Amino acid sequence: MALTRSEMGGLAVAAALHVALFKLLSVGLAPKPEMLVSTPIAVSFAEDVALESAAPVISSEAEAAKKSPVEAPVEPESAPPEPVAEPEPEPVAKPQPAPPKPAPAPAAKPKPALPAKPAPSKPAAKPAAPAKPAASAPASNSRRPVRPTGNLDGLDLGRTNNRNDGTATTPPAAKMSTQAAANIGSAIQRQVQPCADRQVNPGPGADQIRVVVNLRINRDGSLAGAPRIIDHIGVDDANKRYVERVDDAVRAIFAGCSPLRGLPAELYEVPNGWKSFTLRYRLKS
Amino acid sequence: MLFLNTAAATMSPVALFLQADWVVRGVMIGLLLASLWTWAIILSFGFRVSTVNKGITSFETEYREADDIDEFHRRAASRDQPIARIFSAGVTEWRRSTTGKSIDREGTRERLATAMGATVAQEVDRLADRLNFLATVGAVAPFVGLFGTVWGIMRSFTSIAAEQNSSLAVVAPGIAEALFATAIGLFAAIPAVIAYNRYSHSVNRVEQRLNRFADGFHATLSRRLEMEA
Repeated sequence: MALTRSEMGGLAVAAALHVALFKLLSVGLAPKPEMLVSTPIAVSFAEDVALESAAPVISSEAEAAKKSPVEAPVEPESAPPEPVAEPEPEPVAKPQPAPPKPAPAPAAKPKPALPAKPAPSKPAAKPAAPAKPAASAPASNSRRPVRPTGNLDGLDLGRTNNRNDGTATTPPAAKMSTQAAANIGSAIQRQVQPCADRQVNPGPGADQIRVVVNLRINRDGSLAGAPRIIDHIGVDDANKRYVERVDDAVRAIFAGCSPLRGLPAELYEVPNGWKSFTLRYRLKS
Repeated sequence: MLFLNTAAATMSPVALFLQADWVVRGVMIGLLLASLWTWAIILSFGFRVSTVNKGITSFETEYREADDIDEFHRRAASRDQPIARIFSAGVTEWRRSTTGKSIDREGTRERLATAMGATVAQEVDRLADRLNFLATVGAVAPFVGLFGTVWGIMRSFTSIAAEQNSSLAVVAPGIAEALFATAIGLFAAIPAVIAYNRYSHSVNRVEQRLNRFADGFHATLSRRLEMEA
């Protein structure tokens, strides 16, 4: 079928309209969908499974006896009154480094309100101490020696001062567990956060990079050397050009906010302790 | 300067076309051509219908004002209009039928009616020639687009299977390009259906006007036939 002239004209106009619509759609009159900004969730794989137990080793040894440094012998009421001259032998006989002021001391003083003070502060009164009870004991004239000794030494430990029973020397749980490592890692991150806040973000997507950084730390928390960058995690095409700058930022962060404080001292030199600590660090974490 | 945005995550037709499978591309090209031709028909047909209607109006006015049909016929013969051709057909048949010795009035009336009716039908056919394409596009284009969509989505699913990855980034481009086929189908079909309905109505009106004129002219000739007896 031959085209008539009006059809040719219509075809031309239609083609022009189609091309115009096509252009409009292509150039961007059509609303472009916004790029969805994915907010990834940081997931850390627990590769460091705690294969070793960090629980205290159960000892078959007998526990050290809980004793007060001062024995408080409660003697029966029915005990016959002792001679006045006989002093209390037990406190004297004990080889204690700091024998407390015995009970009669407050009694001798007019004010018994200060019983606790003299004990630690007056080791010099040692020689006089045994004499006093002897003098004051007749005053009470009874054997009821349950008295406040004022001496708390040893009570806070619940053990005697003479270590004669227990032989264990290591503190319990002095072993680096995964939990402890995570705690130390987060403690370090918390402490360097002010320095991290001062850093300029290297570029979009740079905070997706997790830098595996090894810190050699002195016992006082200062860095024994520059942080060593071991590896990077989360580098993709978009942010690989920022890796160098992220590394620089990480070095600056750890150099600027050391020494690190408050790390558990007992975990310093144990295996995997924080003497050489490796953590994954991410800017803007 | 025409800047074509070919990034994946846009609505750009170019990008959608370039990402598509060849079957979907074929569907898209076909539908685009259909849309082009549809609009060409819509535009030219609107122009033609309005021309025909104007021609009918002016011709009827002149016909009513004309004194001498033979002289009017001489002028009208040069006009390229459906109504002029119907008039010519009537006059020609009248002359053929009345030049003989004996005049069969009944036969002449019948022949006049048949000749003019045939011309009306022919003119309407010529006018409505392209409308069937609009009807076809309106009925078929959505299905063709749907075919492209189904094909594209099938392809997306096979790509899921191949990559063992059902993330949206794998599936979404294929589905977008597939749906684009349906979009083009509807883009072609909707104007076609609307135009078809509207122009069918227009053609009917033109046909009625031509028929009314033919009937009136037939009545005039029929009266003259009786007077000439």
